Amino acid sequence: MARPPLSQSSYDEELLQPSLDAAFDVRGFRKPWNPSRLLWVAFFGGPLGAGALYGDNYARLNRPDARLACWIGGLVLALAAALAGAWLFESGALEGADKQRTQMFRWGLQGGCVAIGWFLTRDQAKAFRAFEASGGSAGKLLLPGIVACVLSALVFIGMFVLCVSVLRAAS
Amino acid sequence: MQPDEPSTSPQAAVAAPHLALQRAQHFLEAHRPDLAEHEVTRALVVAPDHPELHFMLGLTHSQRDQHADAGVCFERALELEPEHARALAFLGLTRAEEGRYPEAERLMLEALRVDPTDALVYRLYAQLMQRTGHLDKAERLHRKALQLDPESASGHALLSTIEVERNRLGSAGHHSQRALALEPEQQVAHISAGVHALNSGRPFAARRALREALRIDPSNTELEELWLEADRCCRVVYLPMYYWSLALRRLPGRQFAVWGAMLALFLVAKNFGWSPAIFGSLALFYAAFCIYTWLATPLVKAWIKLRPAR
Repeated sequence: MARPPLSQSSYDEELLQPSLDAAFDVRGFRKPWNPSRLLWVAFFGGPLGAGALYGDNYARLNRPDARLACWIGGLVLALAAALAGAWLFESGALEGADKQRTQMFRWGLQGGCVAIGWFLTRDQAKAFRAFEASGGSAGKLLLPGIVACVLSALVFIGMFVLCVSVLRAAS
Repeated sequence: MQPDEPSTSPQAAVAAPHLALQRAQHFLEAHRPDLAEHEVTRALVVAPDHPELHFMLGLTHSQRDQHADAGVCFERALELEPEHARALAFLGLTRAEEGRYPEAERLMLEALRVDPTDALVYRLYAQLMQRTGHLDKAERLHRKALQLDPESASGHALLSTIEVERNRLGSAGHHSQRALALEPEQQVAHISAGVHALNSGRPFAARRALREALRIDPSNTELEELWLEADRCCRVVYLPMYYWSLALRRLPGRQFAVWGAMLALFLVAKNFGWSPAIFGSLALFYAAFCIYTWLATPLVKAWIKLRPAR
């Protein structure tokens, strides 16, 4: 069978464009965590825990600029969720003998955190994969994950109570 | 003198470098890098500035995962012949092993600029893209390599592993079968068949294929781990977990999709007044299955200690 001509088509030229920027120099990495495991932190720890650990993982992947954005984003999302929850609580929407609405609010928050976490995981996954392919071993996530989940739950409760107080004072 | 023995006679010591290169290539294909190094080292005494000899010496180091030494050899080959495309590409591979991926890519693109018709260089670049998670580009590079060299068994085998990762099992199976048909004694062809079988719900076929690959080169520790994983999936206590993992891999969101489905079920049960017995049984089964998934791996490891893999 005759082979097609080996002309430099636009397809070939696109194939020969570089795809790896400085973020893929894994020598500067510091035992990053597996980004797909961080989804569990997003599920159990909410926006604060997920924001903290995803941000720290960006630092481990030598991307300190993304770390700050992650922390700020987690804080803003937690504040928004605490405010929304406080407003729903004050308006009576979260009351009910079967607590179903409270559960729906909690599940919605968990689902939203996991959805955002999924995008962050995708963003970190390639660099982490390159790190592992070079023989690097991932950091241990169990203890930091548990600490992040517990602390973020406590802080979130504090934020919720503060928001309820502020709303009551305002009304 | 048998073909599988290194040359030892004084006449062989002054043999043309191309003969040494041929013998070294043969030893490398037989997974005997030590003998290949012996051939090349003797030839280098006679022709110390032969770039191909330095390149071949680098390959013998690469096959033994001595990447620093391999890099030195490839650099020496490039000093003697700066437009040596394969030396550039393999130097890129050693850079990748050191974690210097941007530099590795630069070297491979340089190699392709020097020789845009070398299928092996395309395959090496594709492997670099696969290591860094650029699967779409890796697949396109492999297809380009196969366009240049359609009868390459390793080309088909490597493309098969990428297709498996992208969940295109039909295409993966086609390419792994093609690899086996072209080179039935090539290790990577059996590995690709094993990987395809493992991801297609055929753990016993996977174990057989990977055992065959190990027979060809028993020193490959990564392959041994893959074979042990296939063996674990064949154990009765782990089989449900194996099929569950396969199904979960195809779900977007994986475990979280299951959690969402259970939540939806809970809401339906509550709102439509399901009998507590039915819903309770489902919830209990789900909880028990969750516990089984946590215990499956330690259980099978304990079982393997009692009945080791054969």
